[in-house]
Amino acid sequence: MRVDALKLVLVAGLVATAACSKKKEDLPPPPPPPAQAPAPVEAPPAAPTGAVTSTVVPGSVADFVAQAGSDRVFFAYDSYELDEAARATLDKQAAWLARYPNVRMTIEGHADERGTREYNLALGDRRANATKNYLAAKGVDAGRIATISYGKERPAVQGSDEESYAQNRRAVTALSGAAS
Amino acid sequence: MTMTEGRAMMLAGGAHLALLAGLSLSWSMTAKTLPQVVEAVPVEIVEISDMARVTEPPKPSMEAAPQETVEATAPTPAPDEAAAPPAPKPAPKTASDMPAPNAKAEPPKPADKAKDKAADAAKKAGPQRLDSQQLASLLDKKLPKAERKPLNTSALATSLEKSIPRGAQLDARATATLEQAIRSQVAPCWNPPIGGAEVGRMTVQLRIQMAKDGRVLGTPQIIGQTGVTAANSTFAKAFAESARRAVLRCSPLTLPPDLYDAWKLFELNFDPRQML
Amino acid sequence: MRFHPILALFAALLSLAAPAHAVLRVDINTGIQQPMPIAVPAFAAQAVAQTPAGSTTDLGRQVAEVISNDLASTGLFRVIDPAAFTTTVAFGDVGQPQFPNWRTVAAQALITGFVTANGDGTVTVGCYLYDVFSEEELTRQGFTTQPQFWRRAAHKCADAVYARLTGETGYFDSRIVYVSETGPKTARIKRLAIMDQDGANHRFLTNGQSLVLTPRFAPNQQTIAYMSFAGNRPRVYVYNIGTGRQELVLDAPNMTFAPRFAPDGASLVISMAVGGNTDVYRLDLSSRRLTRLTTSPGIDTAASYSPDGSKIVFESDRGGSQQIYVMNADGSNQQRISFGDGRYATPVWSPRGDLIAFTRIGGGKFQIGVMRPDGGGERLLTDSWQDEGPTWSPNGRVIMFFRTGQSSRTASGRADLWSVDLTGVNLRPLRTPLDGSDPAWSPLLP
Repeated sequence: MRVDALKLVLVAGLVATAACSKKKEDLPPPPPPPAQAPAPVEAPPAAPTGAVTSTVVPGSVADFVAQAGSDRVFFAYDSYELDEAARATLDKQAAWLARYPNVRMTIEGHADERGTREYNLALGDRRANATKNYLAAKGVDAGRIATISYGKERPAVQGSDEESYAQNRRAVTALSGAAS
Repeated sequence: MTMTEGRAMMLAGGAHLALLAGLSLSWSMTAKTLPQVVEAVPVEIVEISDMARVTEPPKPSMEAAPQETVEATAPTPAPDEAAAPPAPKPAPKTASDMPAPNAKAEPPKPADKAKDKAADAAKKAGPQRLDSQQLASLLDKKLPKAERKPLNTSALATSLEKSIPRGAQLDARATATLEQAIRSQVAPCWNPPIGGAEVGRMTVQLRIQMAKDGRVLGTPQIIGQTGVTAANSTFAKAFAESARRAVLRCSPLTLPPDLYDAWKLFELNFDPRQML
Repeated sequence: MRFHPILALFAALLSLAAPAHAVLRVDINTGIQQPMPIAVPAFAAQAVAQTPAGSTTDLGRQVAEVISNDLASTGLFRVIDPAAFTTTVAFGDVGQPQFPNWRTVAAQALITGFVTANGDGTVTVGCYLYDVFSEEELTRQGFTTQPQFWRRAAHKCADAVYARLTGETGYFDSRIVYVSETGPKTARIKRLAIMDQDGANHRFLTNGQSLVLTPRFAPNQQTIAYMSFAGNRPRVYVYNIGTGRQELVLDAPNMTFAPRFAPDGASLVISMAVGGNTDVYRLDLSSRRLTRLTTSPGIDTAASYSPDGSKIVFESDRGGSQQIYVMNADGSNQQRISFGDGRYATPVWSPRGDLIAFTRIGGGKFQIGVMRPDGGGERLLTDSWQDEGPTWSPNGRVIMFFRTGQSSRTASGRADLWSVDLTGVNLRPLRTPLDGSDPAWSPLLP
């Protein structure tokens, strides 16, 4: 429960940050700042059973998000190029993934609504694969990484404006087999 | 990165099993969500040209109806997965209970009173003059929505008046003016089907016989047509009929009675290229 | 007798010298473009009889309404309001209408007909078309069907009338398969649905558990290829609307999408994304053999066969942005054909073969347009914020597509089906129970 709540707070923070960030046409929003907020200290050795604490469980999805700063990277319009901010996020994701080698993941590629349906499916696939290839280059076993494209079918936020589009042009690293 | 053929086929072979497994597990609802769609609806085409010789309305005789044993079960196709979709058979039926279009030998009657009046008025106005006001009002009545090219009627009238030493032949100018009088009345009645792919290359020629009061006599005769190919013959027919309909719709035409000899028979060439 | 303008001029000159009996000839080079007024009085019941679909009298009235709506929807006909009629058509008059009565309401064409209940439980719908001015019968057709399918008989009649008056094949007895949408864009529920071309007989084919996209009809109208995210694996399936059976066409590890049938129905052209590179493939449906047709490192997708099966049109961003290309069916001779401003996507070859419909992206808009297969004669037919995904009527005269409205953070923009004819003038929405997208028009039903 708490973990979920924390995750929500974090995600909300990210969304808000992205939404507020100023951007130029066709440029991806600046990446969310590294989680400076309640950065949980390295895993407390003993499981504080029953104790009331807000600590993120190590190896969990929330831990991943907290450590990597984000579970997602963003792209410019009609681009699948990973910019500096995206690479920084992925570097941290790769570092986390190196510590939890049993965790597998699916990279979800997405596009904004301003493209035709078929093209956006292909574009989402490009973004997912660009992300996968980068992680693999950073040492994550490619066999752990699946990809899927949702094209423009699953925007993160609804809205026909550039700020929404910027949040929707994304690749999300969705973990499976992580601690809960 | 093409898959090798062998692998593709293996995968394909396993595909159905995998699908069934998937159906029974994760989305077991899905099997029901693809409802039986009623099969290609069995509409039979009936040849009715053979059965249209009855002159009086037939009695509602159920017994007389052609019988085909049809099971009285629900019309939904059996949900047999293996069954091939039943192909609808256009089995020609004969039925003797079709009303016949009587062969009518009635001569074409004046369409309506408005036109009669208009024609009468035209007559009364005197044979020598083409009254521009009258012409305009006539056109207005007949074709409230038609776009018209403005007809220079005063020039027309003057020209025609001048050219009327009775019985004498028309000079070129009078001919041109008469042509313009016909054109300006027929064109607003012509609504050609321009959707056809080859309409731009098609023309049709009609011969028209006129009564002295300006009425079209009989049905205009199609005397020629260009641009007809084997592929567009149905379009050619519709195209020619649009021209014929234009002439009939515009009847009666308002033309100078004194020049009747010049227009009692004339030909029209319909060419839509400029409209495209 | 052929007529030539120059000869006509000669003839006119000669007539100056010739005696007065030379036949006057007049060129008609202009006409009008307006809907033809047509009267469709209620079809007569031979005898009032009850059928499972209602009485024959009611059917007669409804058949006339369906025909009227079909014809009016083309923009080529103006159906005269029955309230203006001075007469009804009794059963005995179906074959001998009183033409003066129809001229007084300014009808140029008249459709009469009847509905008869047969002893075997079927009904017969008879349909007659007359030219009101020449007083000629132009065509007649009769259809026998189970009563519940009476609408098809009406559509067949409208098709016959349309064909006779325009010289083109009709398209009313056909269906639309599309994606019905509901819910917020972030969690949109999409279902396959099918309906008649006029929106009647609507039904859902899938329940919305899986995201489904881009349904396309097979030439036999009985099979639909589409893409489903079932099991979170986006792949192409084929679905038989007669049996309800669906089948995965290719169990590849990669995403397959954008399916379309070849004109012979024996193969599909699909797109497959392999490691971020999307190419066009041909999939033989009986052998399941896959043949790669494009090899560019760009995105090659949205392929569509020419009606003769010899060529394939598709979109590719190999040159830097989405543009339309044509290739031979075996993948050879790939040539770019779109060179206008903007991007060009989702090309679809007309069933008539003479045009390719597309989505053009540019100037902040998505518009539907057509061009010739050589890329010439480009025309845009719509002008809206986002029009996308054209599909052709069976006769190649009307294009259906979907129109998306802008969303706000709190409200999803609507998505609706629309149609427009080749003139671009006759634009109209097709109402669906929920939002709609990805329409595909079936061939004419048999």
